[in-house]
Amino acid sequence: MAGIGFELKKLFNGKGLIQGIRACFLSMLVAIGPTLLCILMMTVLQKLLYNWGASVLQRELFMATVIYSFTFSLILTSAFTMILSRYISDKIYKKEYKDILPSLKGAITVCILIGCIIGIAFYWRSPLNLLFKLAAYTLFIELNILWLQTLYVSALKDYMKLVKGFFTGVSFVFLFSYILVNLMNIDAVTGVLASIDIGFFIIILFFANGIQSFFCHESRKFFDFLEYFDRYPSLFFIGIFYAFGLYVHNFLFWASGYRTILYDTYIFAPFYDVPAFWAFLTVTPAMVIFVVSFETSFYEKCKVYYNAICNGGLIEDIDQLQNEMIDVVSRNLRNIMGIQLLFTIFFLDIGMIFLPLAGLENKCIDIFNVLVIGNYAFIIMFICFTVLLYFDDRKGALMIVCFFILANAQLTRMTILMGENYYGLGFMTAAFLSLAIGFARLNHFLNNIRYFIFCSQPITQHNSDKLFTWISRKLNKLLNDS
Amino acid sequence: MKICIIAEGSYPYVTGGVSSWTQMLISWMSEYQFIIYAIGAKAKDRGKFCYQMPDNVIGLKEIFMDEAFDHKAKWGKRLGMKKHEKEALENLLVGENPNWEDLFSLFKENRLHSIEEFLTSKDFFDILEVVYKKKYWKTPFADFYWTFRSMVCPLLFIIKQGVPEADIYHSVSAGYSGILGSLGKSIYKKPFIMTEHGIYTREREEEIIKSDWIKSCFKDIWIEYFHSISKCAYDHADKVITLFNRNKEIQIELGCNENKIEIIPNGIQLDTYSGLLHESIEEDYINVGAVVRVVPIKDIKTMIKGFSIAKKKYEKIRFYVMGPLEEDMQYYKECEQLVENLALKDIIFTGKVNIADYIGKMDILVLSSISEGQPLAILEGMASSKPFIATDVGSCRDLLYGNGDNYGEAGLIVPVMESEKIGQAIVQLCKDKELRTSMGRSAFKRVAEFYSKERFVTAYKEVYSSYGG
Repeated sequence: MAGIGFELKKLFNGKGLIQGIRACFLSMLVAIGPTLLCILMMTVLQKLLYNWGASVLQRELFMATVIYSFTFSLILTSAFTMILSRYISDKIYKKEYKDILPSLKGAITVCILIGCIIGIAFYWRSPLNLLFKLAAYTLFIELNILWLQTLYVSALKDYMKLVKGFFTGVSFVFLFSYILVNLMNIDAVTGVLASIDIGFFIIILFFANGIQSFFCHESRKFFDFLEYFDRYPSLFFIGIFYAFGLYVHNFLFWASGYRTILYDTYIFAPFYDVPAFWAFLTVTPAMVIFVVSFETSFYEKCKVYYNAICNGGLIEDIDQLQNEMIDVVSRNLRNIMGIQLLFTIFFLDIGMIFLPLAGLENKCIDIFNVLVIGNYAFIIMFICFTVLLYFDDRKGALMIVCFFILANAQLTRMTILMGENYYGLGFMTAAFLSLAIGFARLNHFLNNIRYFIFCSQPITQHNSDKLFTWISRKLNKLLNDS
Repeated sequence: MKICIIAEGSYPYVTGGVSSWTQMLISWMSEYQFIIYAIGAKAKDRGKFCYQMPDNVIGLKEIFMDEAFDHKAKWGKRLGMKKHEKEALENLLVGENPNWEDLFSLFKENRLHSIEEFLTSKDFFDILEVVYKKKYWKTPFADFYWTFRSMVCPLLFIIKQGVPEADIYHSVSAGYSGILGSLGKSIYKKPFIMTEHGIYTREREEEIIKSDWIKSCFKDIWIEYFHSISKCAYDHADKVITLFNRNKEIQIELGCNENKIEIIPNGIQLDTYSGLLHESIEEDYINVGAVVRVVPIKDIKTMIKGFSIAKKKYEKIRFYVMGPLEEDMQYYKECEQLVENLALKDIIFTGKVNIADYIGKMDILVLSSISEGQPLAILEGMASSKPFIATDVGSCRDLLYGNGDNYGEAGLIVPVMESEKIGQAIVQLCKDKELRTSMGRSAFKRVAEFYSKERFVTAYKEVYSSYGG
């Protein structure tokens, strides 16, 4: 969904420095959106907790809870995001707008259902106090909803309203933290966590309101999207493998001798996790450029190209448009690689200076350096992979993520055995190898693009009654009968 | 001696000229064994035959065109087609004569698992691009692609089905059965004979020109394609048989070697019809009959209008339309409506009846078809010594006026779709009993001389035996 990118591009057309800065800021906000703001918020909240006298252990507990909620909600929703994106764009293409909103409601229902089971199972045996567990669990569920909403949000035009929503939410976090902890004397960590719950709930309401008023007409096909699990099972795997691939190296370190266990609940390997987290942030520039510049110009070329194919273009015209489109892809890819390379070098330098100040050991800084380079390859791979998905090359995308997750897992396991000096190299090597595959596939695809577009179409549509189709029909029937 | 009879869209699933002919051929040639290779339209027709298979049918293979499109396959295969194989397919698609042996060999040794796998392979796509750039670069590529893909699909499907082993391959039409006959010849090195009743290429051409589902820019392509397919059969066949001279001329025009062509007309069992009682139901009424399926191609409406015209000039006529009505109920209803509008009395649609029970009671027989080969209905009428009024299509003129013989006229030929002329002809015959009798006599003599079962059987036996049978 390049919807937001287009809106942002308009902003850049405005003259003047202030305009430019504003556009930059907004782009960042939207592109890496919640993540960045949350990090900022978390840093401030950490500081506040320190001021309010929370112990080191308590602050770690707080961080652990938030990070776990983020990570696992992202993984859970990743099972749905690709499928839903496809469903939404199909519905938009077919102009069946009224089926879009119900799919969000359906997806939230299913996601919450699964989230409930996972969340309860996870916190059941934890020795933490009930109130805290309830707050942590609520955060996890809320984040699931939020991730699903962001998919739909990108279709909206009035994103300023959403930005406002976000700010309102975050200010409520601070307001309630103050009220709960300072005025009502609730335990600091629990209080802050509960405030985050409240703040995020407000954000969810803002988003819901925005989405609801945009897709005002509504059918009752809540669970239609489930059929897409049968139709495009690869999208499910692409989504889930991508998310897992992103974290699998962390998980492996959690299983190694480096793990720390907090309150018998959270397992961690801060030695690796902290540098990994900072390293991931260094690719933000590429992400922003991709959303604002690459995706938008590519999308337009892509649309014209497909139009020519579907609406009776001669091969000369198709060839011409094809070359233009491929040109846009390669030019933008080169641009992003260049700019991100500068940023990566910059962040490597900056890391040397600031990370020691943030209390990181030398070994961790080494890991950070390796992972920053790995993330460089990773983000370029991600872009190749997204471009392939634009062309509906699910096979290629799946191939890349599959390779990435397997390589990342295997190589990370090897580096753990090989010793400290090699930490991070597993991820880095996996990322570079996957990038090579990504390039190869993209190149192969673009060289044979007409063949791929035409021959992936079956001569006859096979409508099969498979599991998810059956479930979706039953659920829809149940709802519509009542 | 095993003869493989290959029939497309006719025997044994639908009734009609070619089907009855096939049934007669098989049952009259009882000393030969036959394998039926039937190409049907829809798989749901499997085993639903309109004919009782004679005892000398020892084998049956049924294939259905709708199954050509029903394969799941993985796309993205690279099949490593050889250069000459690619060329063969390219030639077929640009409308040049391909080397069919190369196309047939594609399916040897199970190289292709399914048709769809081939159609979605990189090799095929490359071929299509070459073809497009060579010849069709002015047409929208997507339309081109889908047209060619759906065009090639049935042909490859047919080739993939293979043929059973036999001593002689005898296809009863060109088109896909002609391809299978050629394939049999190519694989087993056995003779291939083709009897063409209607000219396949011409029939498809008419359909394509009329059809609204083919975009006009692709009509030529389809026509050329069917032309190539028929050409394959003409080239492979050891002997091409047709029913009458006009068809022979068309076949030559379509590229068939003149020396291969032999004319063997339909044959009819004379005693079935010659012994029928010649009596009218009512002495002073004239009975005019049409032995015909009630379908548009027979142009029943023009016939009805002709009747109405005749009825106005000659009061005492009764009309009988004898033949199944179910095939096109809509058309039948329209005919009934027409009868009502014209206030035409004394017309009876009998539905499907035993022709022998009725034909003797008729005084005049009529056939108003828009298109015919060599209609059995006329032969039957002639065998029962009836004067015939027929439109000037197929070999009707030869049948009624003779082709240089001295038997005289056996009826009247009228132009297609002219009810006025049909009406006049009926009136002329009604008024002149002498003429009716003499025409009936001529008719019988001609049929007995040229169109008897014996002549037909002898001719085909000669053909079979000259190829080792």
